[in-house]
Amino acid sequence: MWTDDFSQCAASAGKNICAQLFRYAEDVQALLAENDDLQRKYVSLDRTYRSISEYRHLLATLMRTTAEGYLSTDLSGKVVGCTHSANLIFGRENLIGIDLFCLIAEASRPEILAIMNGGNAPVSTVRLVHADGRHIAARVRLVSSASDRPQKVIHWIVRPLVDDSIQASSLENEYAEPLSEGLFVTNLAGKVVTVNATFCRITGYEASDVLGLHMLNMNSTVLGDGVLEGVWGQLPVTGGWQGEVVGRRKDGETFPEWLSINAVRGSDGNVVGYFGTFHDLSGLQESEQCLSRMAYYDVLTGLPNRHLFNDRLRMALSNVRRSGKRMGLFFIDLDRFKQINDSLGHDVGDELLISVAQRIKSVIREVDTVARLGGDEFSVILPNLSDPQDAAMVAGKILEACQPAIHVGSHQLLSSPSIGIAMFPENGDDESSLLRRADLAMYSAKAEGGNTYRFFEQGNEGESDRLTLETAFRAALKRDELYLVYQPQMAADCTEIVGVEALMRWRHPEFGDVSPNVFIPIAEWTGVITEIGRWLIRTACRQMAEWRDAGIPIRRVAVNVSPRQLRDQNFPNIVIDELRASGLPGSALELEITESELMLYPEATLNKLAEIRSYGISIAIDDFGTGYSNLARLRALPIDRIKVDRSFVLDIEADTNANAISACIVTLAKAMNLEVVAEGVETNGQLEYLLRQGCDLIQGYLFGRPMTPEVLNTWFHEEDGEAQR
Amino acid sequence: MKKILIVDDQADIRRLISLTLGRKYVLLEAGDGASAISMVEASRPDAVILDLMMPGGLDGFDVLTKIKSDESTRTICVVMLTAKGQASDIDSAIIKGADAYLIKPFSPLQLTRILQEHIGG
Repeated sequence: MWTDDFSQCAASAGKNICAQLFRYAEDVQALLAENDDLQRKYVSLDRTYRSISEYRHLLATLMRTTAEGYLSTDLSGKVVGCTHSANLIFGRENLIGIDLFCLIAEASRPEILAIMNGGNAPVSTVRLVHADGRHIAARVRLVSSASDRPQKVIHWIVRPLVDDSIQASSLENEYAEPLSEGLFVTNLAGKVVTVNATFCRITGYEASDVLGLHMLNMNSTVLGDGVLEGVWGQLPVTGGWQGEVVGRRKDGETFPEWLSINAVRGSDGNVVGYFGTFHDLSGLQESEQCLSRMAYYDVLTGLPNRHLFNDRLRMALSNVRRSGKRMGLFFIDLDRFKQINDSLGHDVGDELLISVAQRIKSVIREVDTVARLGGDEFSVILPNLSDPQDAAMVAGKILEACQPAIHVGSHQLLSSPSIGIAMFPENGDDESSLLRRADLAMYSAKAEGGNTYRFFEQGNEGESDRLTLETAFRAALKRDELYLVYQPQMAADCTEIVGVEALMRWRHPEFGDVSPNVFIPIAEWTGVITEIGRWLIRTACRQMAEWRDAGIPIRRVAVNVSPRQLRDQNFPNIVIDELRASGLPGSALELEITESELMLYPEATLNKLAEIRSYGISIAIDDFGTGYSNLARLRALPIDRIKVDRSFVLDIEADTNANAISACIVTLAKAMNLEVVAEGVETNGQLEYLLRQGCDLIQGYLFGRPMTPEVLNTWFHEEDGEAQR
Repeated sequence: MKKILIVDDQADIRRLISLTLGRKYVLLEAGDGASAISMVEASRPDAVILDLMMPGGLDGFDVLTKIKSDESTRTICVVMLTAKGQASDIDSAIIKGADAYLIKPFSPLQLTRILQEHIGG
């Protein structure tokens, strides 16, 4: 026992022994701190994995309900009611009147019989007989009613099994468990005739509490005023309805609920009742929050990432505009970071970044924000300053805090920051000008040798103030200064180019090439975006038609659509006009809309998109994973493709969280029959990960930068030549 | 499990080191240069932790030189424990072929890391 040694030690009292013991004590302290850290990381990882498994569970559930059919049989097994989806599964016009046993392969009939007699577990894998004679593997489940009234019909849910890795593995187990959905069946008038046990479990009501009530008027569902009538009125016409509603339990507690109602048709093809399912989404919301937290914070440093930073900047600006005070924006870049990373390795580079992040954090106020934008770039937002000097002071403190060497392992690293400062309102009154100017100021700090800060000065830009830029841009379209470049989208197996994304560029005779980050916001706030947007679609369509005529096998051109354009009532007509004028089929055009835009204006947008889509034009969600997405709502959107934001691709090799998130996104997309495009793919390592996850299309510098049509034509012929070789 | 020989004239220091390393390695001890050399030849440890200052005929440098000049023992990892402020000692140790050095009072964590790096276990 070390205590015995210790008293012996003390007795012999060598000075060097004592010194050695103190050294031991120091190391113990360090180990304890490390241990705390590991515990924290473990808890966070654990939470992440639990969130992800909750998502997988919901995905599995959503997938089930998309693909399944419902039918009811009388006690002898004759089908008396079914949903349209059931008809589709069996490939028949109408299942009514058919004996269930005729629909089941001979080998599986004993099992069905056993289920009906209440012998076995209510779910089984069987083989169904399709109308064209082939056998389909499916899971069939008998839904038992929770009511104690004698049942005159038997309710069945049928789900075909597809040869899909998602379905085969994890879903097997989930389907074996009691259903996680509440189910109810109603008569023609919409009055509930039976509910299942899960319904009771989720809502807290007994079956007897709700039988006989109208399904939309059960206390367990609360829809907004007028919505109930609207839904009910539509049901006979639409045959179904789904959406998010507010559920209410018997004890009064409300919860978010995803409700889905399908018409059940009888022998004459008329509606005989309704079949409804609902999910309790409350667990999901927590997961969504957790995942969005992950999506908003940089894993390495724990600082807000680019997305949260953008949000905060927007908020800070709107606050400071009201308060009449000033705001400071810093762009910070570490000097010689690349050299340190290259010579000592990424691990050391990472430790350095963590250290710098902490140092910057330590000198700013609670209300300030420091974010890691990526690589070795940081940004600081200082809201509500009285004076530019305040910003200078903070910059000075940051420089000071970064002076002492940083210890990483046995290395002593000296790394200094270059800080660029832009002030509101002096250097601009909107996000894009401030960002641009802070960036430019940082470059001038770097040019001075680094380890310093610089305020933005007029001379930095080489172009004048906002008004001049605005005027110039308005004329840009007329003067033919705008042009399009195209970035290829490859199929994931790299065998062919599937399409291109059209991107706008502006070349001004004096200013030179102006970045879209600069002119798109100008276009938006001046309202010119609508005109320019139309030009974009027209030019892209024309180019596409040219390629087709020349026999170049690009299938599709995608153009970005701004929120302003979407808000225009006439937008669908504009798109369709341009399409017609070019002579292209709808399938040759795709519109890309960012996730946040889609989520912010759902109703109005949906109708326009649905209309556009009815012409064969496809819709893709851009920058996916960066906004707050209501998963359940996502299901109802008229979209074809999801584009995963480049930030997830960037981190995919190094960062388990980013990896898990993007895998989740791909799974989600597949569950909804959407294609996935990964953006910003630059390395083969990223490509490998994405292929493994099941991504369909790839876009990024690894395959091709955005190119003018001429360059693209040449590139195409080279690629073609390569392929043939 | 790998074998480590601890060479230091102070029994308490040897005891401390063995407390740190005892879980992962088989340990041997020697209290002076001569017994260190004979134990190295007899047991062929994977590493030797060697104090520089040892009274008696042979000091740490002598042991180091013997280990590193002999074909059959050259590959043994030798970690020198040197006193603070003796830069020339450190230089000498390195020149004579020491694989690593630690300045007393040394960090036990550092010691475990060095050993992990050189001989694993």
